[in-house]
Amino acid sequence: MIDVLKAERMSKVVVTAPKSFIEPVIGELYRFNAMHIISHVKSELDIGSPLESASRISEILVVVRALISKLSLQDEARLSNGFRALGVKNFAQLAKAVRLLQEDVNSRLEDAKRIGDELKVLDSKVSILSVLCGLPLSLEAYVPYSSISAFVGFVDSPELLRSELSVQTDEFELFSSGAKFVALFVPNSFRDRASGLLSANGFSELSLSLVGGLKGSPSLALDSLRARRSSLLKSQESISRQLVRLSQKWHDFLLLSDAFLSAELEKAESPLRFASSQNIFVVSGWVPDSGVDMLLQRIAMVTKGSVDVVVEAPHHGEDVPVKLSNPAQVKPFEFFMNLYALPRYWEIDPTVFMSFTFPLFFGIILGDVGYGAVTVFLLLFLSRKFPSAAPLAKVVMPAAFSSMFFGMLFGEFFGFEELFGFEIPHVISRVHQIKEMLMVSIAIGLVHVNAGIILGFLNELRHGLRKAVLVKGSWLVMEAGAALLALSVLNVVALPSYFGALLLVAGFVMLLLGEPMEVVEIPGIVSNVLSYSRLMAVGLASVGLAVVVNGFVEDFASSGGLMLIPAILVGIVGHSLNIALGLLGGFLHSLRLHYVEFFTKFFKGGAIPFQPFGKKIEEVF
Amino acid sequence: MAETGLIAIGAGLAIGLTAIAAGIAEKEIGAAAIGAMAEKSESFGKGLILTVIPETLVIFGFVMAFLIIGLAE
Repeated sequence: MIDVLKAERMSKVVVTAPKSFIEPVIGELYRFNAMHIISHVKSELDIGSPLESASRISEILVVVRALISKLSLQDEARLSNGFRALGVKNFAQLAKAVRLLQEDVNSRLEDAKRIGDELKVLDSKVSILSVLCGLPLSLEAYVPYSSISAFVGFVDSPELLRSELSVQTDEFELFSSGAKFVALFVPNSFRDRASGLLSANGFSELSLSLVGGLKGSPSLALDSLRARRSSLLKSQESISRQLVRLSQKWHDFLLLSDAFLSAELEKAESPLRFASSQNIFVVSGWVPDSGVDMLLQRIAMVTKGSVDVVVEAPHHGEDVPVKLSNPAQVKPFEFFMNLYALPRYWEIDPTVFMSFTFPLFFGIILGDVGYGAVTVFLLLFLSRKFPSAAPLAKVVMPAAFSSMFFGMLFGEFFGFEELFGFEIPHVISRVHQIKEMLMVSIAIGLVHVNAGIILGFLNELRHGLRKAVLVKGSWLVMEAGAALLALSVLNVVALPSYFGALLLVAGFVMLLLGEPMEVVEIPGIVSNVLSYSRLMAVGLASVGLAVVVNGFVEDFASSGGLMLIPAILVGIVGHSLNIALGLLGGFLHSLRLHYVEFFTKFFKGGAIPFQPFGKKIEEVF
Repeated sequence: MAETGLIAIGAGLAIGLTAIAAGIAEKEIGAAAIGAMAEKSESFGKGLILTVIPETLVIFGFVMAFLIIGLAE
């Protein structure tokens, strides 16, 4: 009965079959996509070895992935229904097609690289020649002479250099162009002194080695280089166009191959998780009860009956992978379990309870019709704009509606309790009936914490009724004792006060017998229940802030005229800030009341998630 | 009249001191939680919960402050 509240029930299935059937069985398990394989640990039986095809598949896969990155294809890889979608018949054909494409792409990429390198050299040549163009010399003039030394480069001031040179000798030829460029020719005998003078003038040499092979006038050489450059640019463009065409043409093929080969590789490597001997292999794994019959049928079909299948229920306390199963309306709230920890297989899954109490607490904290409405629109916008935030939006949405509902109970609209002089009708006012709100909050806490204890009782039942009564029932007895004691001391009930005290001690002794360590938590339960006063406190703080903002707005607005502008600004900024704070506070505080106060009474958590082997095959044509 | 002033100071102390205490406690836990998250990002949920545990102190402070203010009536 309680199983309804737990994660999906599983069975352990152990399939033993001859090795000749390993491929069809793997294929069937993959398509079935509902078996959490238990990896075999080496025992008398060895770990299986990958199928022969594994290395071939991974070879092709490496090439395909390289091509995908070279052609910079980006897209979600879809799963194909096999060779048919790729237009090939088998791995050999696929490998051939991929290899041809690889050659094609690589030769083009090499061409592009060669052209790029040549362009780089060309550009440096062009920049040297365009400097040389300024001098009335042909390129042959710069080739090394036997008796003359040439210096080509830049100095701080050509005129200063000329005057300094002429002081020392008149056997020199100095050409200059622009503000700094010079070509100096001197006899070898004067070479050292010339070089000294040059460096005193801040000389930096222009290396001509790149243009060494060129002849004739620099400007003519420059023209031919520029012509070559534009033709190179053209072919570079055409190559990149070809690459774009290739990537468009092979886009689907490559992505489908990637998906297909990845799947095939996963299948081919799956025997690493099996046990195997000379002639047989053994796969064991967890399968949801609802799928067991279907799996048995399918396996019997592909192995033509020569298979041994054992189905057994999980042993008590075994680590069973957990797949939460909740109705569609509750499903979004599994988000909170994933955020915290998955309940263990043997535990009650509290998602159902959270789907009810989370919006309740959130609504009480952020109970304002206006704020709730803004939150609803904000969430609609968020989930449309950022699909990744959708799971979060789905759990906060009911909470936002609950805010609006409690806003009506509290009679609040953006912090106002009256609009245009009329009081908004309310059931209870958060601002004026603080004591009542405190009582309500603590009453909710009492119910919630005790619900947790009862769930803990149900969880403990699997260890026997005695244990459950001692460990969890004792808390209820103690609470009843404390309540009775208080009521009789206050003379509300006409009972002698030792009656309650006796009950309190009885509960204490029960807990001591059941779980002595938990005795230290007795004061904790009081603070747990009192902690629910945050439902009132955080809410009141939020209303307080809203009232302050409204006060400012009214002050500004009452001056009229231009002061309406700051009034509107303060209103928008203040309320936005308060909504942001309220959302954060409402979310965190309600979450915390669950995780800290509620869960600690029954929840252990920490199960491994159910990860079925395989994928649902999606047909692509 | 003087008594009302003292009551107000008492309420202020109740909430202010608890807030400081909660802040000091959360500082340490928060730093450790961020450290854990850097190692293992799944620990976000647990880290968040552990970090907010001490803020019950402020809630209690708030309730006490409210009860103290009630003395003035």
